Amino acid sequence: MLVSLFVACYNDLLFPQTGRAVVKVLERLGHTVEFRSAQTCCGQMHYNTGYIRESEPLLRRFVETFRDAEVVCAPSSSCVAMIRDHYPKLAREMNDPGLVADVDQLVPRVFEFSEFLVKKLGVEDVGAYYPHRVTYHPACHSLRGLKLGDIPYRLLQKVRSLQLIELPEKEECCGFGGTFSIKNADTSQAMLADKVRTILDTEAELCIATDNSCLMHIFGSLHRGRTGVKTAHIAEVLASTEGEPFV
Amino acid sequence: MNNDSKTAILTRIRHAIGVDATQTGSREAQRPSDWAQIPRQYRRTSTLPPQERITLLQAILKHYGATSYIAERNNVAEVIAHILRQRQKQKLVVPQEFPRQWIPADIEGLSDSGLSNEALDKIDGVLTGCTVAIASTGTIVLASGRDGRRAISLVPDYKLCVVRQDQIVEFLAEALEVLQPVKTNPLTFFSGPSATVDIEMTRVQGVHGPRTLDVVIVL
Amino acid sequence: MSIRIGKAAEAPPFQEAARHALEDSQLRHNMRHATHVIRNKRNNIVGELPDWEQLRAAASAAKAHVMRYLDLYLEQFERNVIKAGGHVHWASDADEARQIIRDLVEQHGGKEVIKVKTMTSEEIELNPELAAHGITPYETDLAELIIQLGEDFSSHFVVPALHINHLQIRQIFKRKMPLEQMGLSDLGEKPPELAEAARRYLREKFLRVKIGVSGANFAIAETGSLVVVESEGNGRMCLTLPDVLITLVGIEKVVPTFQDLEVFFNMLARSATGERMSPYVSVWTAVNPNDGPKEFHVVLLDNGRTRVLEDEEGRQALHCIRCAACLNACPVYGRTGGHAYGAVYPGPIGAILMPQLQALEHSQSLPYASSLCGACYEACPVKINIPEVLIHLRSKLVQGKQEHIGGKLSRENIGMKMMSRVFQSESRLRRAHKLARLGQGPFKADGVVSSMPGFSAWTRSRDLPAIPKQSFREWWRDRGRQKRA
Repeated sequence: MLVSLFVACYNDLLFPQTGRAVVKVLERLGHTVEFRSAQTCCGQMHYNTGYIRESEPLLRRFVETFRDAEVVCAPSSSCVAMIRDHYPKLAREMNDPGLVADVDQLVPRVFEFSEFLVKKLGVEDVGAYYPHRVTYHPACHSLRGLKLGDIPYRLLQKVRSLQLIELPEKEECCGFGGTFSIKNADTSQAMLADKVRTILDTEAELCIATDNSCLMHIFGSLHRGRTGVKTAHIAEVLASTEGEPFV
Repeated sequence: MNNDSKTAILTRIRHAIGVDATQTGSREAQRPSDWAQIPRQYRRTSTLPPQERITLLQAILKHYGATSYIAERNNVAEVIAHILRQRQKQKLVVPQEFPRQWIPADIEGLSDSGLSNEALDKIDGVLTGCTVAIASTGTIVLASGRDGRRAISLVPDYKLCVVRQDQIVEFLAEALEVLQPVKTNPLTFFSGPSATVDIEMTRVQGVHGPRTLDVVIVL
Repeated sequence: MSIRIGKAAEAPPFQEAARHALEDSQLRHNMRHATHVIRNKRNNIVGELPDWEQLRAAASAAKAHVMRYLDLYLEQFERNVIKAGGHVHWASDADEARQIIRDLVEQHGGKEVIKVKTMTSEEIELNPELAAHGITPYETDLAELIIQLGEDFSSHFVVPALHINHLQIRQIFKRKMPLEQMGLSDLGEKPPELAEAARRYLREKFLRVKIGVSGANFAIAETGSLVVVESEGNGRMCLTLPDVLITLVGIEKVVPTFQDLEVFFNMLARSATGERMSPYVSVWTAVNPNDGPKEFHVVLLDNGRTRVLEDEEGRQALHCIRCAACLNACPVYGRTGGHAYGAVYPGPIGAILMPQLQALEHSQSLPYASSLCGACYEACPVKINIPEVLIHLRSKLVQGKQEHIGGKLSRENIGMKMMSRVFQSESRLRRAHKLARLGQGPFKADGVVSSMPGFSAWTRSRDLPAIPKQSFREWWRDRGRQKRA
C-alpha cells in the first residue's frame, strides 16, 4: 500500500523522531510511505481556541494536499479526531459544495497510526522488541473521540519483552487541552500533577501515548521533577527492534 | 401585566425557533407525529415471571434498608400484626380505602378523616396499600384518593405498606401505564426510606418522612 | 429586561478564582473524595442497564422535540394548570420573578416561607429579596440549610454543600442551631447525628409554616402536572403541608406527556446520585380538594432561556435535566470546585449555559475553563455535546473581540492570525521552523528548555523539549536526496 503520512505540525518541528518511527514501522511491514511536503497543519489549535475562520484555509490546504491519496496515516489522534469529527461540519459551514464532497470522500481514508495498523492493515505484531517497563496513557481524543478501545494494548502486548503496567485512573485528562495549558495554567498543572503521580506509581521507565501533545505536557513535569521517567510516542516503541532498539 | 410577559416570552420563543404565530395551526397538527418519532428502543415490557419480580423487589428493598415480608391472601392481618408487635406500634393511621379485613384486631387503626399535622406527628405510624410497585427500582407508588392523602405517609415516622403480587411490575414504563387513570392525582413514588447524600456523598438514612419502612407482599 | 443570573456579573474570571481555589487543601480533598465516590456509584448503576444508550437516544430526541414546539407546550401546560384549579404567572426576567413571588407571599400576609431546594430561586436571588421585605425564607434541604446557616454559596446543583465535609458541617450547626431548644446537649461528628440535628431543627417549621416555595424537575404539558425528585422528604413536606404553594420553574423544563417520564425517571437518579431511583418523587397537579395546599401558583421563568434558544448550536444546553453528572465527571470542576466558576450553574453545563443566558456579556471566561476532554459528554444522559458548544462559544467570543480594535491588536489574535498565515505556505513554514530553532537557541540545555521569555505560563512549572536540529520534513528531504544519490 502507498501510505501518505500526515506527520502533524507539532511532530514535524518538535518530535521528528515520531515521524521517523512511523516510516520505519510501515516500511518494515512492506509498505511504501510518501510525505507530501505541502502539508502543514490540520487547524485544530485554531478551531478549538475559537478561531474558526482562521482554521478554514488550513482545512482547504489539507484537503487539497491529500485529496487523491490512497490512504492517510497520522501519528496524532487529536488531529484525526479534528478531521473525522469536525471537518465535515466545518466544510458545510464554509458553503462550498465541492469542498464538502471532497471532505466526505477523504475523511474515511484518514487514520490514526495505531488504528491504521490494526483496523486497516489487520496487523497486531509489528516485529517490535522493547525490554522495558512501560505504561500507556490513553489521550482523551483517542479514548473518547476516536474510541480506539483496546487497539493500542493489542499492539503493545505483541512487543517482545515489553512489560506493560496498567496506569491507575488512566481515563483522567492529563490537563494539556491545547491552549488550556496556557490560558488556565494553574488548573492544567493541578491535573498534570495527578497524572504524574499515577505514572510514578506504576514504576514504569517510560510513559507512552498516541499523542505527543499529551506527552509533551507530561514530559514537562516528569523532567522538571527529575523523576527519571521518560515519555515517547507509541510509534517509537513499535519501531524498536533488537537490531535497532529505541533508547 | 403578566399577560404582556406571556406574550413577550411566546413571541421570543417563536422568533428563536424561526416560526410565527400564523403557523400555529399547522404546527399543532404536526406535533403528535413529531412526538411519535422519538425513538423508544429501551426496555418497556417485562419478561420476568411474577415470582422473580417479587424476588427482585425484595432484594432492592433490602438494599434500601426496608424490610419486606411475604403473606398469603388469607393471613395478611396476621403478618401485619406480627410486624407491628415487633416494632411496638399500636396506633396507626389508615386510609379509608384500605381493606378493613387486613387491619389486625388488636391494632388501633385510625381512619384518616382529615387528621391534623399535630395528630399525625404523635401517631405511631401509617398503614397503606399501594397502586403499583416497580421491581427493578424497588419503588412503591401511592396515589392520593386510593392510598390515602399524602400527609399520612409523610408525617408519621413509621410506614407499613401492603403490596399485592399483581401490583408488581418490572419496569418504570409499565408502572406509568398502570398510573394513567390516576396521573392527575397527587402521586408519591417511594424508593426506600428517607435519606440524604448531602454529607460527603455518603447515603445517610432518615431525615424527614418515615425513617422506617416495612413492606408486606401478598401472594 | 435584565440580564442577571445570580451573582455571575460580579464574579472574577475563572482563571483567577481557580488559582485560589486550587490552594485550598481541604476543598481539594473534599472535592476529590466526593467526585470519586459519586462517579463510581454512577458508573456502576448505569452499567447495570443494558439499554442506557437507547434511553439516551430517547431523552435527547424528546428534549429536541420539546424545543421545536416549546411555545405550544407551554400554552398547553398553562391551560391544564388552570383547568385543575391552579394559577400561572410568566416572568421574563429575574426582577419580574422576584416581584411575582414576593407579591404572592405578601398577599397572604406571610412572614415566613419554607423552601425546597431550587437553583432557579438562586438564579433570581429570591432569598435576599424576601429577607429585605421582612419575609424569612427557610431552606429545608439539608445542603441548602448548611449553606444558609454557613452564609455560603452553593457549589453543585445536586449536592450544593459538596465542598464542605462533615467536620465543617458540625461546626456550622453548633454555631447556628439552638441545640438545647432542639433537645440536644451536644452534636456528634457522624453524618447520622448531623442529619438528626437537621431533622429536629426543621420539623417544627414544616408543621407550622403556611407558604411553601419550590422548583420542579419537570413540568408535564399534557396534564399541567409538576414533578419534584428528592431524597430527604423535605420536598414532600413543603409540597404537601402548607396552605399555599408557589413553584418556580424554568420554561425549558416542560415535557410533553406523563409517559415521557419513563425515560427521565430512569436516568435522573442514576446520573445524579448513582441510585436507581431517588427516595421520593412527587407528582402533583395544581390543587386537590382533600390533599395538600388549597392554592397553587406556578411561575414560568424565562430569564435568558429564549436567548439560548436562538442559537441553533447552543440551544442543546436547554436540554439539561440538572443531574450534574457532567460536574462529577469533569477533571477541572473536580479540582477547583463550583465557586471558582462564580455561577449558580458551575461545571461543564454551566460553562455553556451561563454565558448564553447572559448574552455573552458575563461568564466569558467559562467556555475556556475546559481541556475539551469530553468526559462530560460521555456522562450526559441527554447527550448534550458540551465540547462542541464550548468551541462554538469560544468562536463567538473571539469574533466579538475581533470586532474591536483592542481585540484585533491583542497578542492572541495577532499570534493566531500569524500562525494561520504561516501554515498556509510551505516556504513560510520552513522559515518559521528556522526562526523558532534560532530563537530557542540561547535557552536550551541538554535538549530541554526550562525557561524562556514569553513562555513563562508553561515554563514556570513545566520543562519544554528543545526543538531538534532537523525537522521531520528536512529529514525526509535529505533521505530523498541520499536515495537518489
